[in-house]
Amino acid sequence: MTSGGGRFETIQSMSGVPGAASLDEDWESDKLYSDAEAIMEATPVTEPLRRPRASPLAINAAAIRAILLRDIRLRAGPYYTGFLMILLMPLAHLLIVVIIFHLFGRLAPQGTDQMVYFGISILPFVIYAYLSRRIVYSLAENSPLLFFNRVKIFDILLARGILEAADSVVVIIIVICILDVYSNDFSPRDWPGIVFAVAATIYFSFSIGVPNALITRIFPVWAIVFNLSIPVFWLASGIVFFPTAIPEPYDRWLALNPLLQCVEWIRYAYYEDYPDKLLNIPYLITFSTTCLAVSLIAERLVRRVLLTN
Amino acid sequence: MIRLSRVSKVYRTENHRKVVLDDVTYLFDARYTYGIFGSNGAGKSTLLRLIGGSELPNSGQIFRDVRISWPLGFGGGFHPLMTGRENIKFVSRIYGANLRRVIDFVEYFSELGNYFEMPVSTYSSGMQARLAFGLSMAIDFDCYLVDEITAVGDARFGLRCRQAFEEKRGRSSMIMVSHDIGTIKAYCDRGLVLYRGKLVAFSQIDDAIEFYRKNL
Repeated sequence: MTSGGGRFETIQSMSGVPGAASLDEDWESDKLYSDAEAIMEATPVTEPLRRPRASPLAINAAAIRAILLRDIRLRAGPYYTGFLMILLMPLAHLLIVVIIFHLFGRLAPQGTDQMVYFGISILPFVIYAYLSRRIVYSLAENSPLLFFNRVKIFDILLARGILEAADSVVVIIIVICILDVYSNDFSPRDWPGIVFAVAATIYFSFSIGVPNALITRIFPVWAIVFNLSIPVFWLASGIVFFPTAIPEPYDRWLALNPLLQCVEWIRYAYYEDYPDKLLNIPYLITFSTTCLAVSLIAERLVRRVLLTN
Repeated sequence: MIRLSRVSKVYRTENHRKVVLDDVTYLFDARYTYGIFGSNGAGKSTLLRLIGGSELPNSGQIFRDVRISWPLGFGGGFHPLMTGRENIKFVSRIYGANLRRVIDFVEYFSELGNYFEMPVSTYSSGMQARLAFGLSMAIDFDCYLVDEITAVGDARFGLRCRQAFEEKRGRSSMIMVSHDIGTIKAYCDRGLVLYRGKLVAFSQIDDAIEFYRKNL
């Protein structure tokens, strides 16, 4: 009980510091709620005021914020070097691909600058690969949080999605800065188009990540299947080949890949005369929205199984 | 008030079917503290998770109109690589509690000293229980779910738990599960026994003890 006395003195001795008035008021009001000095010396700081009930939306927002901050803390690591890694990993990926294309002497099928062409082409793929994979692993990494009854499955997914989307935006800004500095002439035709294309890529990546995260929660082996699908997306997304040059009807089949649509959109927004033969923006948005809606319905239907796992 | 309405909970493994709750209907009145007896593996912890809402029943419904704590046990939910303080901050944020007040109380209550700033992976089970217990006592709930936690720790910690519960009595209720008769007798004023998937209720705790002893 000695330490209780110590805490009591500490709180009281703060009366002289700014903000201490409210502290004292809190302390006084707490005192009204308990007669516990006889029971426990530290009562003045122990007994919280009974707070009004929070709305369901406020509860969700509080949980998402808490998970987001926790995710940031865990990714940053003990020396905050994790933040550097978050940025370096996609950038390194991008750089390696551009170097390989450069070494093999691949010419840009569109425009004159090879670095700009491959740089903006690979950007949607990098966003997709990192964002969706991190979401797939979010439930496995954060499953102990479901122990707290206010944390819902979708809170974990959304918090991770917000964090990864913010990461993606930072990576994109850095890539664009690099392209602007090192390319001969970086001049996008339609800046808002690029912003929308990037936003759609983030939305699509999140929408694909959510159902796969739910499946991984029930069948952990699914994470391997998902990881194996990423190289397939790499090959099928029109980064290493020029989609418009593919003969019919194969180009139409390839256009069903939503990631190819993202790549096409960003190129279309950048170049003056890029062919929009395969670009179908409503398809991309409808596909992503349907995917997300079906996941949310499925989450509600199998919630008992998801929580039991 | 917490109402269980025709609640059933079954676990299926490859060649086994375990019935934890079999069509149970019961009303927990927030004015009382409840002690639930049950032998090891009877499903006491599952029952608490169902009441808390962190697990869902196979059939039936659970209605709650009170703020219920998470099932207070051996530090479940803490991240081992985060310090005690960081874990406390995280949980306080989820429940919208005053961070400074909660940290002050947990620091005092858990008596972890320098360990408070160290990763939870370095804690002993007793220290984790102290942290978890201090944390839940610092946050205001209408009903506390307690899972055997008072059985750990030394006599001093046991006394603190008693004091903290005494302080909450009258404004918060408690549902405690245990297979230890002494613990429940000390804390609770209503007794229930989880026996073969049914929740058998007694108005006197001694009757519950007698039933539990006979059917152990």
